[in-house]
Amino acid sequence: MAWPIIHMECPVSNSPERPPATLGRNLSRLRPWVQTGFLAVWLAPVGRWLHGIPGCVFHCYSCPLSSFACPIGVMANYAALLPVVGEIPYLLIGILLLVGAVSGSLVCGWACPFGFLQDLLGKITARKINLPSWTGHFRYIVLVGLVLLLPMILGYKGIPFERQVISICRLCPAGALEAGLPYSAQSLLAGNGWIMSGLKTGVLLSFLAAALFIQRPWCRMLCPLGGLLALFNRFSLFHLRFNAKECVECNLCRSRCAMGVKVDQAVNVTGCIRCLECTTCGALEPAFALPSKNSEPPKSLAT
Amino acid sequence: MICIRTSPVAGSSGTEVWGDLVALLVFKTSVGLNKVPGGFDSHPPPPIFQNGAFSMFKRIPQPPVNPALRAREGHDFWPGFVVVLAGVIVTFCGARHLTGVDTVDGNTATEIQLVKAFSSGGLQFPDQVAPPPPPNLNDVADAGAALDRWAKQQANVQPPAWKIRVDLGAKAACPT
Repeated sequence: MAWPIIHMECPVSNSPERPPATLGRNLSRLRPWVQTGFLAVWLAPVGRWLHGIPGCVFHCYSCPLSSFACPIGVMANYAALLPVVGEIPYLLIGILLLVGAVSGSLVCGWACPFGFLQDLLGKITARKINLPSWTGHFRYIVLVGLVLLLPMILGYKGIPFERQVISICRLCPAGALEAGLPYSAQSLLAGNGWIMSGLKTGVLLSFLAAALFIQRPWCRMLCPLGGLLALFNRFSLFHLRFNAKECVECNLCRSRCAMGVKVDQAVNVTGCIRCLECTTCGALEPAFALPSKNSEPPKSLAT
Repeated sequence: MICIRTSPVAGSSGTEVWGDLVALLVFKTSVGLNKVPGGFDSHPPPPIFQNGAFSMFKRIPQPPVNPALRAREGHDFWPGFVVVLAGVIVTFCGARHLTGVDTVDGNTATEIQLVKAFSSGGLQFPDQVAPPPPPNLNDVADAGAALDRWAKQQANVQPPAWKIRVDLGAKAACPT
């Protein structure tokens, strides 16, 4: 079957004894189409019909076309409400546990609309800046500081999340792009001027510029949801498996990784977005953990 | 269209594969800039980025892979399964969970209604509830008495017992 895309034949590997992995090549060609398909899920034409259910990707719920609620926005709202009413977001926790334990950060590479946008922006320029891997820790600073602690502290002082001057929603480039930009454009056309704040406009422009020269800058450095889901990579049912017998040291796995993961050392790590581009080499393959006769259940489950 | 020629590369046991590619790069990766001698890139950038004025777009050399350093990374089934099970149970409970927050109608808001209120500006706080307007002095017979009654009512108004409630009909485009 020929994929409906401009074909660029993959040349043979520099290891003459082994052809390039067909599965990896097909996955690489399929991924943009899956990402496009998921856009139709997150940007449902009927809009706002499932806003009561948190989604599992980074996506602004104030977007005129959004269908699900933004998990980070929901998390920050709950954090602000915690000192007031003491509610726990069971639905959000359950969905994140479910998605994380099944697939890890697979949704980042295959379903996230914001990641897809960054992938497309990354095509425009050829030169890319390599970021050191420790920049990925900023994601957890954003998660704990901006998404959980700051709204909680300000909520304790009696400031509702909507009125908090500094919050994740006021700094979020996805919010600026998906909600701020359309509403501001609408306001501009109606003659009411640009309503998006200067700070948010600056964040949006900076992000767009950064995405041209850094592969997935938001995902690599700042995305709190990606950081959270990536914690599941070490034990999620879906994972990447390395077959040492197949490795011919062609370095293809590492050269294909947009996230700068040191694939030659470990691949199920927090920096991985599971785009599966590295599987083109053939030594790495996607796998799903199943119960086997050799694996014993943990003592807590054993009867 | 792609042309391939192989040539031995100094310092490498393999051969270099060059692809002179003329095609749109839409939906194709532009990574692979970190290729090493002897490496391989299935989607190389077009020749314009490889030669001439664009020669600054050089690949960043990286050390070759070392399979001896890498773990096999097979995952066990049970830890993931336990977390999946926990996720299913918590999701189910969350979908049926009644929060401690009331709606404007006086009912208890479900978690789904509360989440929906976040995106539609549906959270109401006591200081947001406007007091009843003063009586229209043109429509009442004894304007002075009506005004006094209204003032007394306002003086005796107690702050609402609720700290927060959910307005299910709110439709603010962007609460923040």
